[in-house]
Amino acid sequence: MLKYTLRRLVIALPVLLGISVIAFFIVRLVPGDTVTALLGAHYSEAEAEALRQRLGLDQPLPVQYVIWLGNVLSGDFGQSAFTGEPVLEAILNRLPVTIQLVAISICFAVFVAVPLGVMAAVGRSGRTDFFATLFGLLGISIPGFWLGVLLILLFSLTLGWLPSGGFVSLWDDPIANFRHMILPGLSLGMAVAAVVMRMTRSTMLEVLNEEYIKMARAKGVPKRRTIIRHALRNALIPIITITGIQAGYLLGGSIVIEQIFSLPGIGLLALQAITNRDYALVQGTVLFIALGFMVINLLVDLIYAWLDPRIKY
Amino acid sequence: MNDQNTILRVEDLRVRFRTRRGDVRAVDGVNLELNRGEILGLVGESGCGKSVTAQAVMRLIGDGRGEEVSGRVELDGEDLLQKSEKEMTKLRGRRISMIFQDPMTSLNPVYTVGNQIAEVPLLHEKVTRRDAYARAVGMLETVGIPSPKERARRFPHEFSGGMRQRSVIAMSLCCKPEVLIADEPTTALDVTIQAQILDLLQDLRRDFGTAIILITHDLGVVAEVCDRVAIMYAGGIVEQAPAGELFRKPRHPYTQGLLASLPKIGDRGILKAIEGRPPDLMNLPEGCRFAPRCPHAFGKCSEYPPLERVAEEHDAACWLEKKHE
Repeated sequence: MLKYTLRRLVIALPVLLGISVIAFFIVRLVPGDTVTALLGAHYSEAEAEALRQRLGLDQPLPVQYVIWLGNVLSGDFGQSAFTGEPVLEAILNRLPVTIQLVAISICFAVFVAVPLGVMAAVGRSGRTDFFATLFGLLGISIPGFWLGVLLILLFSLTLGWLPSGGFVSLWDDPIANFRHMILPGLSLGMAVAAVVMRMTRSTMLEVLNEEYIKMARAKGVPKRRTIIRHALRNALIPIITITGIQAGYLLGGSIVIEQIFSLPGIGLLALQAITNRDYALVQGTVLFIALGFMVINLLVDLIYAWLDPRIKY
Repeated sequence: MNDQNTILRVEDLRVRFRTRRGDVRAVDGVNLELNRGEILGLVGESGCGKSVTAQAVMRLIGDGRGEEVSGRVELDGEDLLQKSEKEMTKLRGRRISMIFQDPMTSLNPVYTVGNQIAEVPLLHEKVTRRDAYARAVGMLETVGIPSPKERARRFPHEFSGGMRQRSVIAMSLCCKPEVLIADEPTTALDVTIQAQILDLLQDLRRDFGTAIILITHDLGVVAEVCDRVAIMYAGGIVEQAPAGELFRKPRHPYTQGLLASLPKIGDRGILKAIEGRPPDLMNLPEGCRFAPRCPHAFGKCSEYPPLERVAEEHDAACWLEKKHE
């Protein structure tokens, strides 16, 4: 297990290297650069040249890349060209917000979708199943940003129950933090919940038809225990897989949701960095999001081995 | 009738599945009696309703959408069809159990074999986890699994087919039930393993006093282990007799056809198949279900023949018996 984890981490390195190449060059393909973004509409060519030189943007691209990569490897992600704030610090400051947002979305998805999917499969073609199917269809079809706006309209503007945006740290005031996070978590988690519910339902339907479920009933296992201990336990593997993949996408999805709810997370940081052509910041956030994706995937694979005795690493 | 001796009595059991294309009469008036400690073979071709009968007796079907079960299933005088699901849950595994055809899929892949067996006494008896597990290890030894203590910690995928079926048997007999229904327990196994499993069932019947309904389509298996045999055709029992008697003097033309279709050593002639095919269960003939394929069919066969005594301990459902009188 440890060996497998180490091997996976080693394999992760070339992937991250590839991502760094893509991140580095792709931001430079976008029209405009840091200098034009910094100086605004009116500036002289000499000013621009001086600034380019100061930021090291006058070097050939490959040279810039190698310098940046060398710095990253030694732990220096550079500074934001706008605020002068070190990139690493900016990311680490905002990371907890995004992690919390993703965690709330996943919890919502798992704690709502898995029971709903199980009930739908057990009461197949009944009322619960109909409701669950409807939930699945709506959840997948409704875009998160639109749902976010609707939720703000209802819970913040009409009912006035929850704030429409902003952020309070969990450590400062947990209740206020939760009030700020619940709507974004819901908007972001809805699509995941729908996908996880559908996966749970279809896998459970499959597992419930297995002979060992019939065997469990034949040896006198009560219905509830059969469903949870014998069926759901076996259905968990695909459910975990899909949840893991979705969690990765949530990192991307958080960009839009953080913007709507003005949450100071990684997503909002990345968005601002892109608008400002803040190269170092864009590269840094992209690398971190990619790293997050890979860590989640690794966790999922490790959970497999724990869930299914047939999987050994 | 010697009620004392009968442990399981099935009376006029009917199972219907409602489908979009119409009702399927999978079991249509089955009558069976199982005596304490005996092995009854339930024989018939695929789709004749053997497994459905077994699952209806266990109440594994009957509560689902579109499933309809009627009749009586008496276990030691109590009608199982009248019991609540809760009562049935307490009975299953303790007084009546079942094993299935495919040992590869009847064990849960995510739990150790020991824990799966131990679950049975844990559910049905007031025992500690430790005692239940010790019982499981003991059962593994009883069913002939070498180094049971070590094997109990293993997962099903680490077992061979024969060992899995032994484990399933250990699981179903852990609480010493009075009745065991074995639904083609050897069909998925190699011939040599088949013989071992059949021997095991016979030994356990002797040691535990469990009566067994052995469902099979293999007359060779029947000849080897069964005390009595019931032949099933298109949802009903057509003949029932002690095994020896049935092989010597089959009364029903279907049974005769089945026996004639067995290959004999030394006989190089063409195998005799029964002409035609079984009726559509959605559209059963009014009279005798076998009449359309029967070489002896006559006018009376358009009426449904009841299962009647034709010799000592020998019942058959055929009008020919009356014709000769």
